Amino acid sequence: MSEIKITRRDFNLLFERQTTTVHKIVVTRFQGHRLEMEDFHFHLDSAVLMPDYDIEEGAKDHVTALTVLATGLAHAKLNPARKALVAGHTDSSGAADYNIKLSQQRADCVLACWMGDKAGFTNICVVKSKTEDYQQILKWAHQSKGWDCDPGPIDNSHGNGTSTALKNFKTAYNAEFSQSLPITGTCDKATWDAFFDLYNQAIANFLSTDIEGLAAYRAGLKFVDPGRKTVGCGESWPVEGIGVDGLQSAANRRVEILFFDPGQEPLLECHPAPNQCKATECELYWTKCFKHTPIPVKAGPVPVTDELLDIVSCDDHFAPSAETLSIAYKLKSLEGKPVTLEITSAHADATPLFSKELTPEEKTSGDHTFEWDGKPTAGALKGLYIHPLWSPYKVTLKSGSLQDEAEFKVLYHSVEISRGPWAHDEKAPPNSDQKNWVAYRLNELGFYGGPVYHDRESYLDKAIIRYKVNHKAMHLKYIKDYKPDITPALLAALSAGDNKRVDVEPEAIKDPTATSRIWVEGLTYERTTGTGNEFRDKINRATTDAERLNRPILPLEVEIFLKSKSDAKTAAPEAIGPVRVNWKHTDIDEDLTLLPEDKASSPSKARKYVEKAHKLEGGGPGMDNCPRSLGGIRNPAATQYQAPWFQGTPYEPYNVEDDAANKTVFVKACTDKAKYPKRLGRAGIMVRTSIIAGDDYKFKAEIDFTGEPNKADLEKFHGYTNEASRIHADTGIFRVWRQNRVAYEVNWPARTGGGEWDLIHNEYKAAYLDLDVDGMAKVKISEVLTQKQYQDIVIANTANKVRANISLKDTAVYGLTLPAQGATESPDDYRTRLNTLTGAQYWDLIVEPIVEALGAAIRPKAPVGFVVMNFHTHEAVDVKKTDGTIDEAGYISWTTSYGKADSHAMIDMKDVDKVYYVVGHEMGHNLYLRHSDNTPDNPPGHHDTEDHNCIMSYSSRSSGFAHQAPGVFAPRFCGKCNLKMRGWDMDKLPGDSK
Amino acid sequence: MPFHLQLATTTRDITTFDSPKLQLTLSHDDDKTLMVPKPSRDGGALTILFRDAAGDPVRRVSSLLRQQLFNTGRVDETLVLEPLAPGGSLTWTVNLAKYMWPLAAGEYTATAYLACPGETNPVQSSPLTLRVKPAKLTDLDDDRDNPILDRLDLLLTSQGDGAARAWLRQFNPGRPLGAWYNEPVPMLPGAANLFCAAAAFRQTESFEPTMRRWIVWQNGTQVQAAQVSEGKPTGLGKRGKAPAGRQLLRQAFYNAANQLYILFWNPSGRLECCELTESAVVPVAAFPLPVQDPSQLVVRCLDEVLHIAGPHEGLTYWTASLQGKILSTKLIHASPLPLRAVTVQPEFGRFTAIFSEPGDPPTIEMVLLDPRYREQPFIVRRELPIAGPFPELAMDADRNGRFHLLVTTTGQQLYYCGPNLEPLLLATGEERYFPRVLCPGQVYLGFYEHAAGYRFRQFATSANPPAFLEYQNL
Repeated sequence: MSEIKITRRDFNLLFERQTTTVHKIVVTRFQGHRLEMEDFHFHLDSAVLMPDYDIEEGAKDHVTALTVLATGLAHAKLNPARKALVAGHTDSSGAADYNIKLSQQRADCVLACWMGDKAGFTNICVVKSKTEDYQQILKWAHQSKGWDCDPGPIDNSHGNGTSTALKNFKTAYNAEFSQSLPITGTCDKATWDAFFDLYNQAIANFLSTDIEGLAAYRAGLKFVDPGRKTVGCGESWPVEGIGVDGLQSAANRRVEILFFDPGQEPLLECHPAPNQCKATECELYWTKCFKHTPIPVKAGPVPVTDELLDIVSCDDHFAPSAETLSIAYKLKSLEGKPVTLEITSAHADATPLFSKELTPEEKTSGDHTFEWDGKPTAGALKGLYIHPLWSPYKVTLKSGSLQDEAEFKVLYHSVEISRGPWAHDEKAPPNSDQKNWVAYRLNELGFYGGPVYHDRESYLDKAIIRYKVNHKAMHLKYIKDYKPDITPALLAALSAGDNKRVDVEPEAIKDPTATSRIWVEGLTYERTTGTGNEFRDKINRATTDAERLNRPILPLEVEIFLKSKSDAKTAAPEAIGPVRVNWKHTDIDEDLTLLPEDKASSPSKARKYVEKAHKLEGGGPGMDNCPRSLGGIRNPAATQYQAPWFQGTPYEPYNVEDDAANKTVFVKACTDKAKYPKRLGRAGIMVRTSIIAGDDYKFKAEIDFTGEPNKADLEKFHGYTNEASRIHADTGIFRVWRQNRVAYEVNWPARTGGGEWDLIHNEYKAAYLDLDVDGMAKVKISEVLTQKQYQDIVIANTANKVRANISLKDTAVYGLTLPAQGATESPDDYRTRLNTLTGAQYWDLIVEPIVEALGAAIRPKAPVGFVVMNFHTHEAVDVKKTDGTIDEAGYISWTTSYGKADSHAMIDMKDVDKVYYVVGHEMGHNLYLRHSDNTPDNPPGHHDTEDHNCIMSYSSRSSGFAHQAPGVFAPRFCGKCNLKMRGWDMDKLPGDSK
Repeated sequence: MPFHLQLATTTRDITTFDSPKLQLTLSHDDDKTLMVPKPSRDGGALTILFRDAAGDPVRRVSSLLRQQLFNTGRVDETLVLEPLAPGGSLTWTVNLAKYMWPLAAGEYTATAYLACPGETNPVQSSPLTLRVKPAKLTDLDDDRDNPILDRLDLLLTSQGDGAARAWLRQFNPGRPLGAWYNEPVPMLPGAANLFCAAAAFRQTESFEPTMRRWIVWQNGTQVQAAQVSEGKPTGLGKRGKAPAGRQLLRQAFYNAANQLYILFWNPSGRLECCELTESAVVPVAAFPLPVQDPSQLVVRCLDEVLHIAGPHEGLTYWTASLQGKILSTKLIHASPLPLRAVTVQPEFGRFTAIFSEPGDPPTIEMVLLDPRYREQPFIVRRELPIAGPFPELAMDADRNGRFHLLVTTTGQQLYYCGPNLEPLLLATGEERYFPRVLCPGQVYLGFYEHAAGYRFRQFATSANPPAFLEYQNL
């Protein structure tokens, strides 16, 4: 990497550089040294330099204009190479052109006094003076010389007192200076000459020399432009009231004597002619081009030595702990004298943060650089590092009367969001701390065990039960039998890391364009009792969900970075400070096109229904997550910001506080190195979303200086102009998904038609329910059910009691010899009797015990997940007409498919409807969906009454809505089913999509 | 339209207990073979619409409705076509017993409609007139057994001023809406006290045993029996003289070898089992039972074991061999209340029983024991806010022990009493209703009404208020 240093003057230059190489371009500023005569040294609309402004009796030991002039001569002598320029300024009262002229006259007056140009001084005073000018000079002469020339009140009115004072002044002057001014009460040209002599004498006195010695000082002066020693800048560069016109300001009425080292001189093209000032072309007062260091001025005699103390440069900002602050300074003739370097902040107490007596090596004459590591040696930050919140900082170098200052800052660069650890030390609690260890491990394994060390809302109990439900060794038949106790088996399983699953996909944490899924276990039809019908009793799954499931938790942290000297992102966790980080979230509008389209071949009102539901409870664009009253966590707009996280301190060490006024929560960055060394410079929050599938969240962390006393400065330093310009990081979108899997496909016999799992998957996907079919085990019935088990079930539940007649066949459910058709039995009757015998009087009687037996065989291997059983009721049989001819060969009757407890879906393969529909329908029952149109047992209130094509209805034309023809029937879940599967509270959803 | 559809019947004048058979003939004028719906697999292509005298439609039946009336599973709408050659015709019979419950009294016209491939409108028959007269139900015997299928037979007797008439109607007890058959039973002069015998066996070789049943009756001192198949006599008969001093119980059974057994109560306190042969009543076994009221005894036989339930200390259950040995005795439910009705299904070990005591208010105790679902019986005792006594009581319970009760009052009212419900008045004005309840899942209530005859109706207990469901696709 090459480095090119340029100044602002080079901006129009053309640089040619090699490509494919990194070039660093550093813009440097010119350096000036400034002496300033300000405040009351000029009266309004006067160009006469007052010798002193504080002329009240007893006011002593203060810096006067003549002290400044003497200091300037001394500075020039000690820095013979430096060139001078005198610049005059006015306030903004009066016309701008007039002010340019006035400022030029003031600069000329100062120059005349400084250079010993009596005629020049007198000429200006004659044309641009006021009565109060000579009244004040007379008073000064009275006080400094003891002459009887006090004019009385300085009232700008030439009365008798003033006349008398003038006469007395001239008498005293003639006596001391051997002159013969006429003793009159007027202030004429000769009087101004006399005043000049007094100025000259006073300057010489300050320099402890005489008039001849003074001339020697003046002889050495060099100017930037010998032909143009002064410039009048008018009102262009005020120091206060910037931009305010018509402001009378003593501070702005000033003249500056500026010195420049060779090569650092300003261009004066902004003053093309006398009394002209083009401020827009000025580089002298453009702070990005020039830096002016004040030359210290001390009251009283001006020491004339060659001692020099100068901060040549100081880094504008740096990243403490990662790099050092470079303070370049120059000293001369200070060996053996104390030289102190101090660093202070207006936000600390009066004690300097850092104070150092320079060592002999550090104060030899010449150029030095002091590298400060940013560690204060006193005050509240002692032993730590300074941080951005106390910016700006000031570095002061001083020795005796010599002093120089520079300002620097510590700045934030950026923030980055990452997934936080489950415990602040990133370690599992010790085994002896059993409860917290279990919570930690459950979190690690994706079971949302809750905030470690800070269990809230029974998170741990619920997580333990869900873990046991999902674990082969701990799975129980009935959900009611689970206890949240910590057992040896639980500890062993957690130690072994059994059943680890993904809780949250990571991509969206760092990628604002990504979408990640937050997984919630999709609860299905559980066994709550031995004989009860949980499906009927628990029709509103929102209630069960709330009892069983923890809201997903996701610890997020922002790591805060500082700006290095070269503005690079720099990790400096110890120098971050307790900055406030706001955590915000956005509710992304749902893409309704993912829901079924309403088309003639498959009518659906799902989009319309879901859109209507989104508007409940004040919802709409930007607020379409499930509202709190319907099972979600969306708050009203005023408090929506509070929803998806723990507030308070459950996520140690962070404290999530509520800023209701600004509708945000915030966290102060961790600064406790001793207790939380791994969390330094970070601000974390524990997100906890709803359990409602489809709800989505986009998170934002931003640095906010609200509450800091120097908020305005900090915002300026960091370029904050509005909320959007704050330093921030966004995550991508996190969307809650329910997760189910098909664990087993039990074939009785194997399906000959297509499984259509993709279609089934897509149907559930529209409700943000991911159905994993990839790991599905496919088995024959005889692989999970023994002959004896089957016989026992048939004997116990049907009228068939002869064991020898019953056998388990892989080809069909009915395990006995099929009855022959009666000699007079019509084909219709035979088919119907076959249906009754093998269906209502066999299959229907054994299905529950079969489900139990399958569960007993499968759950030890696959504790959760759907078990889909394909079956034929009986083996194929030929149906005859009464004349003995074949009416229908290979007939298999069609009975009932079921969605049963323990997530079993029993699918009659003779169902003429599409496989995806039949399987999806029965699995829908396992997700607590009730029947719709055209079905038995379709209680009101479970479906969108405007949508007659719900998958939970039948295709039958025999009653109610006709739907399409069998085989063409292409139903989709209605909007109410869709939302119910997501977890919305069905009881409070709209009745229809109208 | 090349098709022609004719509708005919031999039974235009019927009673509310009859189910007519309609004959349909389909032909066409086309000179080539056309594909037409196969009558046994028509996917609902055929519908028959009944209109009342005012011309208003009152019932539309089809093969889809037929399936609905028999099974709770989904309806198979498969349509199969078959060829109909030029000049040919297709004739088939629709037994309306399978398609609907009997028509109420009145005059009707029936019109058949057949949707044929390629035809925009269905082929329509000319209307056929049917006249239905009411008949009085004077006796009802119900028998439920399971020779291969679980079946429920109702033997309905109408004893008017003339000779008694009877009909045998068989249902799928899981869905007692359509009937496998509903046939008038030929009666001999003097026949009285008709009842059916239950099958005492179970086999799966053929559906024939489902269709057959023995009907038993008394004719003076003679006990007679005739075998019917789908309600029609097979020609087999038995008869014999009843032993003196014995009371013939309305319980009988027969085995796979067609041996028919009848039961007598000996006032000395013995249950006597006899075989009724072609010519005699032959004693087989006798069992002393501590029963005061033998009319409440229920006897079933399965695989040569007698299953006897009766009133003793509540409800007691005995098993006995045909060799005259009591095998076991078990008190199913102890109750101080009189036993009013009991059912036994030995193939499932299932019992139901109703006890009641007149009082103010009257108390009802209901018991269900079904070891398939629970080892211990479900027991419910209720005080009914209906003035007793209750001449008729019928009850059944679902697998979760929810009881559904029908009671009649001396004020000729019929009430339904469901779980957690106040009694609901269903009908008034009949001397006897012969109520029956079945709840295999859904709740079916059977009772007689003069104008409607006898039918089971599905009762939606979860509706508000509970109401009957009708299966009419008009």
